Amino acid sequence: MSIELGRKLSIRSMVYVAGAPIPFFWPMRSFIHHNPLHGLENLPFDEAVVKAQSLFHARTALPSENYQAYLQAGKICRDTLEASVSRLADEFSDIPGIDLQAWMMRLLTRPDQAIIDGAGLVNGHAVKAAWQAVTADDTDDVDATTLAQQLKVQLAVDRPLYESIDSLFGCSLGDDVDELVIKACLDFFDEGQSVWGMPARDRGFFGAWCEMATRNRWLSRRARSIHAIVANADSPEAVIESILLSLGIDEGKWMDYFTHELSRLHGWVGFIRWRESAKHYYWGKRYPADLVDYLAVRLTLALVVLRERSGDFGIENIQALYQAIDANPYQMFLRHELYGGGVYPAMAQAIEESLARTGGEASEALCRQYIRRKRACLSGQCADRLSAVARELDCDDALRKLSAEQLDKLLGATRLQHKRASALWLNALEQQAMNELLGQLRLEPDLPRDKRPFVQALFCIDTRSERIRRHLESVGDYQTYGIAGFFGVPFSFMEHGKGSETHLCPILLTPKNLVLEISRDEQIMDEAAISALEKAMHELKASVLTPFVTVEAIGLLFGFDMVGKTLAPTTYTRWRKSLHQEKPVTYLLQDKLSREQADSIVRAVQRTVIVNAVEHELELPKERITDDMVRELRECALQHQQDCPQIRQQLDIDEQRLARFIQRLRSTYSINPAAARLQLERLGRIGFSIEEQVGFVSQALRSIGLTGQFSRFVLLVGHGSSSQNNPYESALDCGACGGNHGLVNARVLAQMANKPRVRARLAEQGLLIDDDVWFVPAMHNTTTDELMLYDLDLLPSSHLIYMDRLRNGLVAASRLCAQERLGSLQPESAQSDPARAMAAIQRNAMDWSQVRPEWGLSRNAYFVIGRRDLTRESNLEGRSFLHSYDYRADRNRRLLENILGGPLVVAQWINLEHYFSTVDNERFGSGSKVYHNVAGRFAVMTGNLSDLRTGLPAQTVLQRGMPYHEPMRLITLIEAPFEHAVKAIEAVAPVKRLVRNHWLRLLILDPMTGLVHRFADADWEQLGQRSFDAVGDMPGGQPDIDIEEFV
Amino acid sequence: MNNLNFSPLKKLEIILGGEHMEFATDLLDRAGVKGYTIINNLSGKGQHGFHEGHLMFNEDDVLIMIIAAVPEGLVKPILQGFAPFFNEHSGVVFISDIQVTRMVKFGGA
Repeated sequence: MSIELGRKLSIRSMVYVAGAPIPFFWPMRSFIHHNPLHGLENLPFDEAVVKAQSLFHARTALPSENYQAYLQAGKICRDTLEASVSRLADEFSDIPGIDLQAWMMRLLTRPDQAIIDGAGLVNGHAVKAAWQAVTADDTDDVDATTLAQQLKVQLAVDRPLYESIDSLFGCSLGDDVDELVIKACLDFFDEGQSVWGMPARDRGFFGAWCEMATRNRWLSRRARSIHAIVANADSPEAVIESILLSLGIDEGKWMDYFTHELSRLHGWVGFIRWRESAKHYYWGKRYPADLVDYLAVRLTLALVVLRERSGDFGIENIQALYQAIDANPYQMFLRHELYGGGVYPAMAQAIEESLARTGGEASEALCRQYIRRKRACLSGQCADRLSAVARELDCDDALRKLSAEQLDKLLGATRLQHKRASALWLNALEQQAMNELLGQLRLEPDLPRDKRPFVQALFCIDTRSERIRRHLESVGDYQTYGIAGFFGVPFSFMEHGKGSETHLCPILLTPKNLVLEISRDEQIMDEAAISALEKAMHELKASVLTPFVTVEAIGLLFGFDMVGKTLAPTTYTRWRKSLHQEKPVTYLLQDKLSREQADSIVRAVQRTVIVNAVEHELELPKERITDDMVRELRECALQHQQDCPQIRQQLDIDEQRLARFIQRLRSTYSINPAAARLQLERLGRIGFSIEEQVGFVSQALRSIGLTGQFSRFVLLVGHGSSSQNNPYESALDCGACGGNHGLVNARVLAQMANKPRVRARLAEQGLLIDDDVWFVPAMHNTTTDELMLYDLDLLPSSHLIYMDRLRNGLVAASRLCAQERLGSLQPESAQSDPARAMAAIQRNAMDWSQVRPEWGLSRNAYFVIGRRDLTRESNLEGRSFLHSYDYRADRNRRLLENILGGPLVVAQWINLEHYFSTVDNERFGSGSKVYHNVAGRFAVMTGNLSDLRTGLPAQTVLQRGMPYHEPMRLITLIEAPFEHAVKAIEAVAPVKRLVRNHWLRLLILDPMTGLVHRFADADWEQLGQRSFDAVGDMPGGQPDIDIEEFV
Repeated sequence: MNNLNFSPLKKLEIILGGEHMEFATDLLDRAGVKGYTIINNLSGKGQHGFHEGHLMFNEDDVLIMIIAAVPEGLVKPILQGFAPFFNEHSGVVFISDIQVTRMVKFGGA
């Protein structure tokens, strides 16, 4: 069947809009923390979570027991809670004898079930009747037509049809369809995990799947069914249209239908959405797939499953469903009650028995009996619970004297409180956290320094840096700053020995420059015997015959590995590493190539290619090919000449063969002017120009307020993690570097900042860096807390005498940090000795059975933008992102806008990822790591077949089943004058939206007035009077020169 | 150029949020449009929900405009294609009559 163009395009458009609420899923090789509700960020937070509840069938807040436990532990601000409850109570007019505020507070803090269960079935009359112990026969309002109508509304037509059938007949069609779809996806999207790949994938997802699924029709009934549906379709849109028409879905509801279909496997759908938008993704270009393909495959499989089971139910489309409901409303009602999950338990067995027999008349009587008893039961429960609460509040008499209408009002208030409970708790939890933060801050003028600090260190804003910074500052005269982990320098990196590029910057940016890593020693690496053996063994694992042969032969070697890794991880890993060739010392090519250099590189590449081509095509040995010949051939190919007599003679081949050869040089081997231009262009991407380098260094230093009094050592500390056997290892690395470690960025910026030419230009701009200042790249391993320095061979000799002091300081800080952290990871080991704590922490990193090598970013709660002096005396327990900022050096607010638009958004994504993975780890998080299996090399599944798991695993956010991470929105504090900060926020549209929709909580601490402002509801309000003094003038005469934008 | 033959076409100017650019260009490609022009970084005012009135020129809300010249027969399918999108997102499509001289570039004979 063919489909009209306009129709085709509109279906495609509908699918695009329908898929918008499902968040992207990035391949786990570079794990990206993101807000699972990112597609709903245009709504206010409270509305978005309600929508998410229905869309993803998930909880969006902790159960009340957890909040009540927080209240006991003092983590909830009681004042805020009571104030918001009283605001809620004020919405209702008075009920005589009942103190509504006390009532609601009691409900909130009472650790048992909700009072109202069945919405709508219980009302004032029913409750009064229950107290009087009268069972009214009030089923007069129940008749065939209303029941049928009610059912049709509940089984809303925009739900997939099989879901309705599941809730009526207790089967699991939905799960069957999901399983088939998952299998189809695993086959197509595999990225090299399976040894045998699916054929014909370059036809696109739908094309390839049709081809496979309709094979062997003479054998398989299912293949025949699928063929019947897709046979005449020329496009997936046509299939979608024909299926929806045959299901009888009303056209106006198609988009909602799509959204519900797509939200069933939101992991896969998120991945496909990301993949179709990633224009440079290798697998996406080779094997294209988009959401329309996916939906066509899914709908086809759903229809096939429906038809296969049609013998059992006789329902193949909406009309048949409605007919079945109209024909037998009582039976259908009872069915829905039983299999839809809301049945009154005492009568469940009776219903089952009745359904097993056939007979419509018996159903009506049973139905009425059921409804009567259910209502009575619910009303009785409600009445009892109301009384229990009233007795505690001493108003039981008043309660019983209420009229039915007044009771209705009370029930309404109770329902409302129940709905709003989680928002009330969250607000109060956040307020307490805000109070604790504000209590720890110290707003004082800068202390004048007589001499410069020993070392200044720039760390990533990551929460884990907060600990190490505190300890480093405590062991000596160290001054630390917080800056985004990529140091403001976005680039694409090609590692030594690898053939592909990695983007080392936040995923919000696309890098324009390329940096290459080149080995300093020009050795040709000999393959060590061990690595050759490793390679052979790895390849053997993939062969079919291997299990039969190699277990006896070399199984013992694998066993050796396993025993070593399990019983003595530290020692064994160190020994294994020593067998491998050490990575050569490298340096980074980050300056722009001159035109001559680029030309010679292109020429050299072309020469090598020609030599190889001559060898391959004309089958001449290398000795016969001279440099002159190669040059001639090259010029021939580039200058559109067809013939080269000298070459012909020298090579002794005929004219035709030569002409063909030269043609092949041009086309297949790309020795032509256009390709040469392209190569030159690509080489032009390498490196940064001097202006760019000056700009990056200047921006980095100014954004953190470090513009004078530089230390002898300025450490640029990137961070990364190390763990074994961990598909989530990228989640523990630096988010600002796109899920990689930050060392390369540190090396790049250090190299830029140490360049004399760059320093000269900076001096012209007013940023004076003395000659004895040296920038050193370093790496903070967040799993083991080690701080390692790099590129030390470039260190000037004058600095060598200080290295001992520096190293000691770093080791001391690492040990203290490890000691602080160990308690949270292994509560049972009471290691008081920092050195032993360090050893224990290091073992974590090498243990392949360790499901929690470190807590990572769990318990993150704050984002502080301001001077380090503000937080120097605070112990924020590794819960805060800290970005250094000095408003006095940022008159036009550009730096603040950059911080807000970049690092703050990344931190907000991290915070909400943790929030939702904590409140519902099964739906928003990925469950326990223990059951994870890697799927296709880019994701994990639970068990052997499931949806792709999104979010964070249980081991990251929960501890022994209880939340370890405290789920609340990011509390952001900006230290700047009020107007300054507000203007900056308004200028960055995404952040403005986040603030106004309450996706984060924003505080502004105005150092000029000492007041704290908070954004609440719809506008800014002052948060009490803090006794802060105004901060003094800028130290040391900083010039105010506007910087250029390079981001 | 001695012979200037004018052929009538329809011009579509599609203004929408920058994050949907790939969707829009993909749709035009599938409709068989031979080429289009994209103008970036527009500012503007609309009545869509959130940008509360006082923002006349907010240069960070990136809007783009896609200009395409299409034969009359493609106008209706393209508008049908964009209809579900513009039901949910802000933006407009302007259709005007234009003439071109090199018809072959636009998919005509």
